[in-house]
Amino acid sequence: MTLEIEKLTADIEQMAQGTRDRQQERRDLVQEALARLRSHGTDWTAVEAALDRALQQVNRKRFRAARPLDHEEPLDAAIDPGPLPDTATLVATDGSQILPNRHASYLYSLINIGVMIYYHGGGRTPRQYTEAQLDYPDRAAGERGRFEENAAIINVLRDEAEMKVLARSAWEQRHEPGPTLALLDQRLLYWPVSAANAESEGVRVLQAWQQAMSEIRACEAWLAGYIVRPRKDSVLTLLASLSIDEPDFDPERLTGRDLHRGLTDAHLFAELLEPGQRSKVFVDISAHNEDFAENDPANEVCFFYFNPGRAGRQIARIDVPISVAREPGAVSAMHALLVDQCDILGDYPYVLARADEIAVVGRRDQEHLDAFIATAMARQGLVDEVTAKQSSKEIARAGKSRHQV
Amino acid sequence: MIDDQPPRQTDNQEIGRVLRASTAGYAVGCRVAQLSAPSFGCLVKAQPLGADEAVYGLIYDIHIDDDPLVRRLVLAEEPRQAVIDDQRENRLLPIEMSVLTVGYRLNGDLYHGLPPRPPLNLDPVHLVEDAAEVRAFTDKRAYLRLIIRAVAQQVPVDQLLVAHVRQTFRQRGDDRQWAMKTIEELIELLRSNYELLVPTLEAIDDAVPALEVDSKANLPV
Repeated sequence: MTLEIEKLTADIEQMAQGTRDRQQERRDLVQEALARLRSHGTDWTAVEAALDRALQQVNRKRFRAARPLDHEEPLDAAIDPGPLPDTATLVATDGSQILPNRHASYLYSLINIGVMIYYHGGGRTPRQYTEAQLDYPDRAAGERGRFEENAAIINVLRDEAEMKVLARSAWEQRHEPGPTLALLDQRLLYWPVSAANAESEGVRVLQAWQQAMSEIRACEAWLAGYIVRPRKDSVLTLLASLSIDEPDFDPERLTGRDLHRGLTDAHLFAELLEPGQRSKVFVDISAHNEDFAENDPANEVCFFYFNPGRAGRQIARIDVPISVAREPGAVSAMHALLVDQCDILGDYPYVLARADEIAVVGRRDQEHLDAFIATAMARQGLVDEVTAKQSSKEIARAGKSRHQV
Repeated sequence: MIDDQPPRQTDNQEIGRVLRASTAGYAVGCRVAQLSAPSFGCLVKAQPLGADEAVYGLIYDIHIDDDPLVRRLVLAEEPRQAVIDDQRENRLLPIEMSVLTVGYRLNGDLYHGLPPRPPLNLDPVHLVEDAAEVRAFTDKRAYLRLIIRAVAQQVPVDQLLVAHVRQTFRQRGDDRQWAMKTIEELIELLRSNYELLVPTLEAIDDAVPALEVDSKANLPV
């Protein structure tokens, strides 16, 4: 049975009306926040005092805000890109995975990491390669069951592989002229989301992640996480903290889930930043970032917002370690390189788009891999079959095609 | 059957591999870097490594597909050279050549006809550049019938004939005698199809002026 869209018409209409109403409300909230950002643009004493008071009065575990890195530009600064470096090397990694399928003939998982290296200003052809890791249950009793249950951790292991391969690739480029920019398409303040039975694995991956951040710094590369459609509201919380001394203000509201009624920092900076511009740099205030800083002070995560589009208002967030944020000229040069990269495709860094493209394991790739595995198994005299459920799915989803040469 | 010794495969450049095939023709997939050598009308052959069998054909179409990334790059005001190089050298942009089968080799002998079976997927396809092999295949002209009957397959037969005559004339060392005999053969084969014959002869005259083809004078009354 196909989807009968006509039965959803009323719901779709309601959805559109609701979205329109929320947008109107959001516009009002944005204007309010923008006015506050502007009025406190250089009021550093009030900003620092409000954050200090908030940190004293609220549950720090749940408090997430932003602190301006420095007092050089105002809070509402919209900064144009600086001059492009003559040469630079941009390294990007991205990953994809095949999760174990207990209905398939053979149980395995796969992580595939795509690496893209773009030589800015060197006149050289970019390089690309992939690294694949195959995992499968061993013959121990019960191993198959454990392997199936741990499917959720594959995503975490993929994140770890993305970061480790990025660190290694950046190291390999250390002799290239000009700065090296190492890019990921996710936040640097990594939080492994894994199953309850894999907590220790999550902790191990988190340590490996921070170790890789330190390694990237050691080879003098600039690490950055590029987040599209960011949902952080830390700058809005900073602005809300400015009311902490008002008589009716409950400080615990600052840790509430619906403090900003769905508004995010991206909505605010979309009003402020013209195409190519960035915000000032903020330090992330959170218990998790304190853990990062405790592990390695240079890994404390900072961020800025960036309008990558030629004409649009789709704001991205760029996470950088504090070591990069404090390096003179690094953020400015990184900003210029990102603008240059986004110019190629219009609104997203080319090097990240290509890393994603080569990392993706498509349905056809998976079919080829399945065939290779089946052939290798057959050579060992092993034949297994997909389950009836898998077989019927393959028939139903195969699509239609003509018989032709 | 045409007597011939199998040529050395190393003389011919690989231009891609078979994507799909029938006895009447095959499609060849290739990378951009491989595209500089083959052109419309070239004689090619699909031949598994070390095999004594080969299926010969003429390229009658070269098709370059787009994809979403290319479509976005086209919108950029001026794509930079590094990006163009990346697209051409690194990405698997789908380039496809269509080949019309005109003969085959079996057990060391050449035949101008359809092969007993088509080449298989991923068989390497080579440009036939070896002068001795070109000469061996084109000395006799029975394969021209296979080109002419391809009108029904939407093959641009007149242009294919012109390209083939021009290229083979040069590959055979400006062999005027071969070219004139080929034209005579075409006139004979197309005597009842002036709509194809006349533009073909005119186009050959334009493409190879050295032949001094007089399309009107050569026509049968």
